[in-house]
Amino acid sequence: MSTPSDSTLWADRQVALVDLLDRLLAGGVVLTGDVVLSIADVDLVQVSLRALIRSVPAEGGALWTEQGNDRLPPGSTPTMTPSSAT
Amino acid sequence: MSTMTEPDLYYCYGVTRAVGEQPDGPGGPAGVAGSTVEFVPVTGDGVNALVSRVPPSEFDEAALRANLERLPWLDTVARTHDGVIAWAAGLGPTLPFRLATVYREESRLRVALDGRAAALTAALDQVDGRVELGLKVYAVAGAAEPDDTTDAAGASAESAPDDQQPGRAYLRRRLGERRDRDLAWNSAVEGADRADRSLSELADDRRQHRPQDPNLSGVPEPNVRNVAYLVHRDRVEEFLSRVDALRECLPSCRLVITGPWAPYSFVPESD
Repeated sequence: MSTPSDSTLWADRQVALVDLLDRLLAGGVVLTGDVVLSIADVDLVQVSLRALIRSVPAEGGALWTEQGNDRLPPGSTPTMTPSSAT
Repeated sequence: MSTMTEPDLYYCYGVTRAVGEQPDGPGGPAGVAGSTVEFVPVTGDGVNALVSRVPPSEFDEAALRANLERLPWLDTVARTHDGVIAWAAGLGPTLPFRLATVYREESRLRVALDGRAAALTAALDQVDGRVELGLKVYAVAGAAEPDDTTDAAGASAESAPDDQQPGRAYLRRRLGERRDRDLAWNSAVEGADRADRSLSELADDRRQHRPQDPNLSGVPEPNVRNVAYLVHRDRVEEFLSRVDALRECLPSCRLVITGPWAPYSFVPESD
């Protein structure tokens, strides 16, 4: 079914981690059974957010302020933007 | 039974009908934690699982819980997982599994795969010849036309001059900023709806993801819409042309396309 152009299509992609995590943490087949860790029980979006926040240098903490929550649709995570960027 | 070293675990990236090459052959993809990727045959016509043996020191339950919260580890494993899936997707229809699908024994993995064989093969047929394309719509600040009617209260004739009431001027400015943000948001939502309807016409299926947190994406503009489309490869060019056309007529929106992806967002629900 596949042609050489298929491989070309996949060759030079630039993938942003955030787009990949949308898919790998919220999408993909979830298999059950004797898994090591039931990934469906882990809120991986929160996990990745915590991982990111931990990677921010400690002195950067004061730069992060909460803003703009009022314009987010229901169900989305709180928005945090760097205050220095506004 | 006790052994000096814990037995390996089995990391499964997904299932595929890839043909023509072997993952552990020349040009094959790198596996997570420096592992080799191998085919494990699954019930179904020419279906293989993509599997690596991985060390428990990195992938048992405690290690996984800790590692998933370490961004460098998450980044490396996610990209490696996607690399394996992209390799297979270039050779045939492929269904990705969720990150960190790890089994203690190969026999248990086979049982789990065979139990889902009917759903997996049906899903492989549905995604055959198709790719996933991502669309993110951002609100563009200042692109919306200010609506004069909403300004009536602020422009009331009885207001005192702002220079005598600095608190009031501040409040008015903040209200103005808030109104501009709301206008930009509402206008972008309308644009996103229009783009979504138009692009859905060219797609076989569509799934909505939650809007991205600017903290994770690094993009300060509000993410109005985050959608995935399943598009036949013969229609990818037309899809991208339509995105270009939509960009021209939707100034309140910034449209960003990602992909092609394996069909991460178009897999069967878990049972």
